[in-house]
Amino acid sequence: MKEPAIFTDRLTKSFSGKEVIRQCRISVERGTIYGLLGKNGAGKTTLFKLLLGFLKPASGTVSILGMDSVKNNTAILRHTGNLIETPMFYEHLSAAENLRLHLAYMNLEETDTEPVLQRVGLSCTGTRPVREFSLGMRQRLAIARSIIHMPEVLILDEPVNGLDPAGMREMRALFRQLSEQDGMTILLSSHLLQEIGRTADRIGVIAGGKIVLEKDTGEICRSHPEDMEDYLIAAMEGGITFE
Amino acid sequence: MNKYLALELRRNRLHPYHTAVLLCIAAMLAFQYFMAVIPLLDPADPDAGMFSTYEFLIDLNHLLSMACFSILGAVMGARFIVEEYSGKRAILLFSYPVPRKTILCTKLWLVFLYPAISMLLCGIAADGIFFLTESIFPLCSDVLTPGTVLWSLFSLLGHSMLAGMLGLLALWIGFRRKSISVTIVAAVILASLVCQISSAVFFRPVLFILAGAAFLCGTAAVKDMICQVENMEI
Repeated sequence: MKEPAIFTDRLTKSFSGKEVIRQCRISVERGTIYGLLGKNGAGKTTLFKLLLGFLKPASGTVSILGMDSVKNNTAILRHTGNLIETPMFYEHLSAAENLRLHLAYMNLEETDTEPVLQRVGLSCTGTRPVREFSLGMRQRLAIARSIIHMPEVLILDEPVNGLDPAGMREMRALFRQLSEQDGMTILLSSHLLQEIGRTADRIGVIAGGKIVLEKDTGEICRSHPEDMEDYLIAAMEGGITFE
Repeated sequence: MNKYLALELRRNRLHPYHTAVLLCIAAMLAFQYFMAVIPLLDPADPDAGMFSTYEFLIDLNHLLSMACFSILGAVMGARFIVEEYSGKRAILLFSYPVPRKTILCTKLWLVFLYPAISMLLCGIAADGIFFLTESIFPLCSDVLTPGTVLWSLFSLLGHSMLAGMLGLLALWIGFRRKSISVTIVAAVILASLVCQISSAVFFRPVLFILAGAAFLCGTAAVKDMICQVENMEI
């Protein structure tokens, strides 16, 4: 069996004595899209920060591409792309300049920024500074930044926030393309049930800092053809234990 | 390190700081002439005598410049370090596959070198103009000697290093509290303290003692900031 791209086991994280992530176990296969669902405050962002080494676990293991997230943090960052919380940019610079800076830090100065800007629908922005961008454009730029260095693993926290329905559909197609054609492993979170259902190969539900449900999307669709939404909401509320 | 320094310069706007430096050079020059002209304005004032020596004029001007440039360094530090590591921008910094220490050290070098080098260059320009005009139309009754010019260079170098170090120390205080205003207030207090000690003692080697003390404290502050950033959780 192939080693999972992302794996955590008995992962725990506390803030001021309160456990935010509890004995969390998650496994994401290579080249697949894993959708993480959870209510606000369920622990999605904290889990993503633990995966990327922005937070240190209290106990348990976290590995990405077989590397420990704390010990091999720099190597992990080289092979991952991320969008965590509200994306930040250098506001006075254009979209292309922001991407070129990112590439310089990635040691990939020779990479052309135009193809990826086209891919996310920002090719017409020219020298316009990012401070003039709308929320949707900023989100598109953040996605462009997370994929421009063609990482093996993509970790996206609420990637379609601020996008209109057409934009959501474009990004959904982009994520599928990245997974199917480029073999990228994508872990994304959302509280938009339909969006996750349409994008992900596998769905995980986190409630109270613990994965309470982890199933293939097709399997959920087959077992709950009429009440998939109710089923997932019940899981997000913590009403369904791990199956 | 050079690559990351170039990237820092690319992503941060230094234009306002360049403007501030140009204003400083104009202010330094104006202040130098104003001090030199005091004994001519009121020759009867017994205290005006001390303004008629180059030694006093140079030391006073360098001391005040040091205060200005150390505050400039603290403002840069507040903007480039305190602000970037306090908010959500830290995620962006920590997302690069570059050791946290390397990025922080690059920023610290920038915060130290910018005020120190700009003060040195401004001082050379301002002192150069002053000495040139003094050699043609002297305002000061003192005699301008090569020794005076040499001392002014040493003094300028010492005060420039001190300005950079005080900026770093103020940054460290502000960084601990994650506050921009604390950083700037700390710079004002530290600069005032050093100015008070220097002017009260008026003993030239005190400059090098203060610079040495600032260097030791600055080194400890830098080590502490690196440790904080390496263990920082966001």
